[in-house]
Amino acid sequence: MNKKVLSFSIILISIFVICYILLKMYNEHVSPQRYFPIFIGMIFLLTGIYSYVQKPNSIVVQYFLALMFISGMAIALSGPSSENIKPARELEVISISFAPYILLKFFDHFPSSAKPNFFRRACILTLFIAVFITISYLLIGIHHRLIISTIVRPGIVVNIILALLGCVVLFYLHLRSNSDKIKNQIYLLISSIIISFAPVVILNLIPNAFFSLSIAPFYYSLGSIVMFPLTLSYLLTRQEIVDFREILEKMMIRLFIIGSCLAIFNILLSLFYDIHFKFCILVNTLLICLFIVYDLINKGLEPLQMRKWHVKHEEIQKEKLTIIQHLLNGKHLEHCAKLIADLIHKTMDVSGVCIVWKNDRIPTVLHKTGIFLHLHDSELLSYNCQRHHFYKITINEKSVFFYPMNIDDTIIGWMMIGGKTNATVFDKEEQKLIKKIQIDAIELLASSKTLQQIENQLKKTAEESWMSEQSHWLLLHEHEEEKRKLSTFLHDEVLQHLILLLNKLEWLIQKKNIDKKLFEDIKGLLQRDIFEIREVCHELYPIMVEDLGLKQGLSSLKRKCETNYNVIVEVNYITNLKIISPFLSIQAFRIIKELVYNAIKHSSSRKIVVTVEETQQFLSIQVKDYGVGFKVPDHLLELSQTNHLGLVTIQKRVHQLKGTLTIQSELGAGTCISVSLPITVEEGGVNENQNIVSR
Amino acid sequence: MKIKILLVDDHLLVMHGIQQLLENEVDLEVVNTVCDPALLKTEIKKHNPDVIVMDIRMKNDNGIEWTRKIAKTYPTCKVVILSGYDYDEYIRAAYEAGAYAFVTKENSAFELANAIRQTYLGIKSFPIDSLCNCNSPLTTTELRILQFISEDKTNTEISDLLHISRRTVEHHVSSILRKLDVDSRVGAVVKAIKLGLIE
Repeated sequence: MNKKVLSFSIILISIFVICYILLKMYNEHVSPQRYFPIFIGMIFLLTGIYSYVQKPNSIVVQYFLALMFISGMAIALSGPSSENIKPARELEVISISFAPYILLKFFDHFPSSAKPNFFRRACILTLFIAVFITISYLLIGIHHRLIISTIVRPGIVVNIILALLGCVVLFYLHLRSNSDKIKNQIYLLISSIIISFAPVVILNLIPNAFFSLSIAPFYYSLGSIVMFPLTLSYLLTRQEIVDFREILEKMMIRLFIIGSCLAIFNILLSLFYDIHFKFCILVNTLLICLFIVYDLINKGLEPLQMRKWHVKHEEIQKEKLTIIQHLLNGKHLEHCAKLIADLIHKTMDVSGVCIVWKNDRIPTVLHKTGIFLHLHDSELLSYNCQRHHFYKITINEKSVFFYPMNIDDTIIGWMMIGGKTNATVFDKEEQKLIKKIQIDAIELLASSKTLQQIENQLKKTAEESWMSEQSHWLLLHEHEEEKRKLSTFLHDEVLQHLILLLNKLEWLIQKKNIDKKLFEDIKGLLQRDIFEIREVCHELYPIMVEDLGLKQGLSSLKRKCETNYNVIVEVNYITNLKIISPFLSIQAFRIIKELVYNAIKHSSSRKIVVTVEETQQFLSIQVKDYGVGFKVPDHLLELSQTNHLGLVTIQKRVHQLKGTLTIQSELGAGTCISVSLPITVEEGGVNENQNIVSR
Repeated sequence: MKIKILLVDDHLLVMHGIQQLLENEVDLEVVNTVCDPALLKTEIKKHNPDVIVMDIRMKNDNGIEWTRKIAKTYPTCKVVILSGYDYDEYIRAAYEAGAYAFVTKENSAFELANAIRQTYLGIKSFPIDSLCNCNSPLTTTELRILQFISEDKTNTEISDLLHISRRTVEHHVSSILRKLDVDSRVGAVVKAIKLGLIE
């Protein structure tokens, strides 16, 4: 807070001093050009204040303010001091002797804070020199001109040179090793310094030294020096700065063009006329002014010139939006093509548009308008040839332009555009427009195609996942139901019978003689239990298939079905002496069993034919009935919705065995289900016994 | 001279039960019991048994296959298959493997002893043969079920009508088919009409 008050009060005081000196100068009738440095100094001061107001907390900006203050004072007071106005001279000496120190202090923090040791030492040295100069001047120098010329003036010059050398070394080090950001900042700074001092050097110092003539008054050319503080202020207050090198590159090209134009002009002029140097400069300056004026007017009129183009451009953007909207609404290729054609018609006065798109490598006409309407699709497609670039042909004495749409060198479609209705050629801008539309169309059609594919995939996947979820749920229930059945069997049948048997045995003991009838009774009960338990075991796991092979298992299945249902099961087992693993046999048996029971339950057929054939690589199974048949759904999982889990389970089983399942069914004509399972020889050898058994 | 018997079964309790039953018979002698068929060869060499009584299903081994091997390598040792299953397929497989007899575990010890004796004499005895000439009369329940079958009723319907489980119906039906010596329900009905069992 104190710091702020201090800095502001110092600035206020200095402004007051400057104003005082101004008034004094006015009283002493100083020539008007002497006022000029005061304004420059004021600009320095104001720049510093502006930066400080923008970023009061930054330490770099605080040093910048100090630098601006000191240098502004030095510049502002240089005029009055040469006129010997009272406090101006003293203040100038003080400020100019401290300026190097402040400059080094500022660069201590800008562009980055890390600095080598020598820089700190140089900083202290400049401070020491500044203090020495100030003291020696204030104590003795005011009254002794000799002191000024021997100590003060060389001291100041040495101090400035020292500070500048330090800065140059620092810049060099920064440029050698630093990030691109800092490098860019330094380039900007260096160029601002060049621009600041170039006018003084070119217009005053060089002509003065070599030609002993002055082109412009020194004070006026000093004006450009304000570039330097402005650049610094810009660097400090703006967060992001432009990529200076890129701008420079563009500028250089422009300057080069202008320079070469001028050079050619001058050479031509000098060939035909004898020209005065001053006249030459005048003409050149005028020419430069002309260039600038032309450029400015051109820029100013650009929107007017490009108005038509802009309107069309906007229209394209609008159309693009609508197309994307339609895309999102799920209307695809054809709609896109129609919109693109409409767009072309809106932007240009063409006689017709036809858009051809390769759908799965087969070209199809998506949309056609105008002259193309009279032509048949196949005729249109016959004109397409495999050229990758724009070409022109004549159809029915009308010129048609082909714009192939390529993605990575493969043609994915064509845009066919009829000639303009007024039979003029396409001008450059229109060609550009078409090119642009073509690029957009490629992007649009390609993405709409992808979108369509993705959408279809998504729909399918969602459906499948829903169905599989459903079937999982049902399977879980099925599993639970099986457990319940087993538990009921054990409890209601086996357990009850055992209890009954126990009671009967007790009775037998009580009667103490073996009753033949009672014994037969018990025997019958036991035999029934044994039969039932055996059946349940066989249902749970068809051990016979593992022991004796698939063929025997099937014959037992046949017997069981014929015993319990009014059907004839015909089993044809065509053996090829293949080794079928017990695992595959069991799976095949379960599948056949499920299919046969399905046929019994649903087909009402009196005859079921089971055919099993061992081929070289497959075990092919066919279960055929002559019953009512059913409508085969598109997706088997649909059956799970109607609680028909049998086929779904079979399909899952077949899928896991990497086999195939085919269902042929016709209402009233029966059903034929074929399953083909690959026979894979198990690694490591199956149990020798089982191998032979399964033959 | 007693008939030397070797018992092979991985079910220890059952095996000892059978051993006791057989040792009651004066003409039979159980020379050893074997749990693991892998030891069978050394046991055969050691005791040279006349009859080997073998379980059809052991945890890791297949009795039928062992029967086949024994029949091939030791033709003097005759095999009697003891089984928990009475499916025709098993009986046929045992026959084809070269066994001399097939006895289910629920059959009485007398039947087993008889089978062993016949085997010792070189006579093959299988249930199929005995079933064929077993023409025992049908029970009342079986007759009622046969009547329902002739009325084209399904097992489920029959089980509902008689208030017995579906599986019990199956048991009865298979019993009817066996007793009538037919293959299918249709055959059973035809034969029953022929025999005048039903109208």
